Amino acid sequence: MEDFEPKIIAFLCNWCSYAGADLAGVSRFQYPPNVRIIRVPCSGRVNPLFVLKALYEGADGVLVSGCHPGDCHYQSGNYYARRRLEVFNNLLNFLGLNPARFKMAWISASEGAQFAQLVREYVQEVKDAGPNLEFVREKADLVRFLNEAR
Amino acid sequence: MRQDDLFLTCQKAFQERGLDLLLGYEKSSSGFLRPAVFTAPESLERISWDPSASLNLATYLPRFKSKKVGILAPGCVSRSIIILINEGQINREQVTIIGVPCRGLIEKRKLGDLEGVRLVEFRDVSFVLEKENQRRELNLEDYLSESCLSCAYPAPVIYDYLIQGPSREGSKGFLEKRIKDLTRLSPEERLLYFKREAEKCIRCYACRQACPMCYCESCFVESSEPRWLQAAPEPVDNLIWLLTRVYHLAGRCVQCGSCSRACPEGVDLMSLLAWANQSVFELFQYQPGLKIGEKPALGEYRLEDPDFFWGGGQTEGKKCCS
Repeated sequence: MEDFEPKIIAFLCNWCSYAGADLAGVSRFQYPPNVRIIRVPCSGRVNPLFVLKALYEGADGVLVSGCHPGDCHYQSGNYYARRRLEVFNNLLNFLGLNPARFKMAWISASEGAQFAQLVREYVQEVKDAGPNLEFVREKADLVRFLNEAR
Repeated sequence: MRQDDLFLTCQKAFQERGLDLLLGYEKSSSGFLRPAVFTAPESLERISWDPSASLNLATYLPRFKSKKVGILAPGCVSRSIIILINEGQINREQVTIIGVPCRGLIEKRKLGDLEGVRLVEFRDVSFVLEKENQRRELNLEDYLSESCLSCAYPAPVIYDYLIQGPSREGSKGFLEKRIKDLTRLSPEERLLYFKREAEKCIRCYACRQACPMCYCESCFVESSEPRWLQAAPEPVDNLIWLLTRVYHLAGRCVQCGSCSRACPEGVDLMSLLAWANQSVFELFQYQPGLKIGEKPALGEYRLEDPDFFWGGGQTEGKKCCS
């Protein structure tokens, strides 16, 4: 699995994390190109179904990042996100999904270096976890088909 | 609990409050209870309440917003009503709650094949079934729902009228133990367990229909723009359906077990629901359906909430399966 290059979907909030990712680019911090960034207005906009849908459509990992608590552009969006995503994360863990499939982070607009570091860490985590076979429709079908053929 | 007490109290409530209808149960031909809507005080002679009731009657309340409605409510139903009030689905003034004592509800699935079986009567700690003139006395405790075995509030939390009688003692433990057993498994084994459960699901949505908290007019599962998942009962789609429904109920579910009893395939819904509630309780010390005027757990926040985000306060070791 050494040549496995994971696909990671990152939901970044417009005001902090997206700007943080931008800063990482402008400052030429190197990080692996495995993340596909989707810009959302606020981390509070992230419906946990986004995460499930991304995994279902073939992502190997999903990253959600927003402003640090207290810094939300809309005052409280990230506080709501924090509650929801933690409960959701607990559920995923209870279900037995590999913890590397879903990650939550706070990245501010000035934390370009931290963003690069986060992505490096996370990509490695997902590489160690291997490809997402447990939550993708096509692959789940394929795995079942192969099992039945055996 | 005496039948005439139930009848007279309901009749009194009906007249004093000027009710349009009363939600209760009546005996079906097999002796098991079925939900019934009583629209006249005279028809209340048929009203009945015993552990063979299955559906949480609060499910019907949001449909009768403009009516004055009475409802038979054991502990779980009264808590559902509190949540419906808190979430703005019904008005307190429109609902007349007739509290009933609850000894737990039986899980029909545990009785096996019910073809030709008639429920004769409930006694103190047992009940009698009849099939082809042969009678069988069964121990009530052995046939209770999982949710009732770990019910902390069997007696109604709020009520306008109360019917006297013995309630089951509040007990926790059954589902908590199940959760502990599950968390002792490895994540791979747990995923396999829940995938097997999800494979049983035929996506009839009986769980949603039986749930008082699933009152959304359009459900994510039927949304076509965006289409979150396919309608066909495929394992992964089923898993997403179960998981998202449970997530939507986190901190709102009173664990009445109505969905679990309604499920034709016996999918283990209760351990996921209990886990969701337990993690909401552990994270935010929140228990649903106990106080009128409270906001839902995921509809509010505190500055000092625990923070397990990367770059946040407490990142060392993600909280999982405590």
